[in-house]
Amino acid sequence: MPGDTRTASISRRDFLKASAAAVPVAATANAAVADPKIQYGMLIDIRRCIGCHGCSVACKAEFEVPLGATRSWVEYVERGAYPDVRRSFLPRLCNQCSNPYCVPVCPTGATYKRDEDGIVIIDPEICIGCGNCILACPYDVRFLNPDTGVAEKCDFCIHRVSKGLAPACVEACIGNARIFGDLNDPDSEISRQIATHPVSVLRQGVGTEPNVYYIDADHAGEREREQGQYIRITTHRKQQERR
Amino acid sequence: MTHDLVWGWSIIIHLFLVSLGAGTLIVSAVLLLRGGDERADRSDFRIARIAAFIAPVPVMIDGLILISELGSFQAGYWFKWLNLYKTIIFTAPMSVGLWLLTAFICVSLLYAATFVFADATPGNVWHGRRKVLAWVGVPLGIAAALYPGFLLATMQARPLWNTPLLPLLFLLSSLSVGIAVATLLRAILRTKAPPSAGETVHQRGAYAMAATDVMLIGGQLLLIILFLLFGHLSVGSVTHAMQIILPGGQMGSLFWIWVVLIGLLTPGLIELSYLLPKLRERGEFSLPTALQLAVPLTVFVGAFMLRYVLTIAGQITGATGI
Ligand code: SF4
Ligand code: SF4
Repeated sequence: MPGDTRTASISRRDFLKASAAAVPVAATANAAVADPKIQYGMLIDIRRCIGCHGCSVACKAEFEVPLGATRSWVEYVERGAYPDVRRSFLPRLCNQCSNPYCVPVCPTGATYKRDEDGIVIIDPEICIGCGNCILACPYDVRFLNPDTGVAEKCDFCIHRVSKGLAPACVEACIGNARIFGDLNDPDSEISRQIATHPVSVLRQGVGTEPNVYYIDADHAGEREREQGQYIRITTHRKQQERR
Repeated sequence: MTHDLVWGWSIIIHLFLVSLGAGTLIVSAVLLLRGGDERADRSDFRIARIAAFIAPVPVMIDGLILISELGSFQAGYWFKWLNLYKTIIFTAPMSVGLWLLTAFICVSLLYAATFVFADATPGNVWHGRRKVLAWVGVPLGIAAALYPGFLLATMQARPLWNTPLLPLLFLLSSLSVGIAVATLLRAILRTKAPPSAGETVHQRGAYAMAATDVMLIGGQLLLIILFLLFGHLSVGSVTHAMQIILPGGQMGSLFWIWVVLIGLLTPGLIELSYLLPKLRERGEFSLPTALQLAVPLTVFVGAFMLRYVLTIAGQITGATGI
């Protein structure tokens, strides 16, 4: 409902303001990213994802994401030659990294990783829209909102999470493919699933230590293509190729 | 293939203007400290003086361009960029760079002010202050010349940029640009008022400058070779990203023709060919006036294109695989 969306975005703004006031800029910016008490994370079970884009649409509505920009999106990955073929989906979002490359390069301290829950956020009151963080992220999950002039990305819906609700994409997922929770709590659903399944993260080699995990993700890319495999990746984003 | 660039013209111009200002200040200060004040024909002094007036200008213009391109400014928040001045973050090149360039503008303006009294001779109070500011200007200029390289090199997600060779390449390129400014000034000042006496002193100055420039250009070529070698020897993303500037790559011809051929090989070989007689002790160094104008222009074009190619190529390449 539009009414609900509005309430959500207003309270979210208040929420960000309140948290910004509580934490002095320089202190947060320079603080080495300490191990947070709670580290929210997400586990996406690719076996359950049907590529319906429900999550992308829920996210668009939740945040009034401008046309052409994406906080959350789904890629299609096709590979192989008949009969040995596979088509799967790869939902993408900010990984809320434990070693986020976007944080140290921010010249104003607007981007920081929250101590209380490990979510990486952008303080819209401080951000000047310089673009450093956008280029520093190896997952291309950030964009500059032309209306506000501020960098934006997925923040695990902290306005919802702080009220005990699940992120909008988790709520909207009809395949129940997304599990959201505290990775530092060994008894949480997400921790138990990660402990009992083979999981992977995206671009592990770059070293950002992502907190978004996948079950059965297809990591096919340029390498496989260069080896002669048929690989087709559809991103559904304005930037047509996967970045 | 179309790409949405986060950093477009403003950053490319930013990287060039910072280098122009930094190189000009360094060359001005070095000419002065090398004895430009005491030389018989004072041609070095005149170059140092005008270069000192030029140095702060590009950096100040550049500040305005950069601010006007910020997302916040474009969205109508005119003064939000002042948030930059509320903190200093040592891991963020743009934050350190801002304070550095602010200091650069202050020092270079003060330095330029000491030249307003052109006749200040040794012993004069302005003469002393000028020398102190020149001593401060050299390290400050070097830091400012390194800064554009750091801005790019610290981006761990951009394989083409993420190498310590980049700040060095930018430093040498800035110094070469500074020498190009001085060479232009030498040519212009000379045609306006040819010195009757001190011809050899003049030639010696021009010779030192051209010789230094050839070394700087050689250094840049070496760094580019190391850069390509590094790309070739690494695995994965870097090798992949490097393809874009190799011959046949998307920006290959821009890089090899405009940066390497026109920007480095042409001025380097021209200067070298005129340096050789003196190097082999078979004659004097003398660069025709037309070349004194043409060589700096190729250096400017090459330096600008280096920044253009690197800024764009670094953004449209990224980590490979998923
Ligand atoms: S995915 Fe990118 S934006 Fe998100 S925390 Fe990691 S580096 Fe930062
Ligand atoms: S765009 Fe905003 S959040 Fe990103 S680096 Fe610049 S000031 Fe920081």
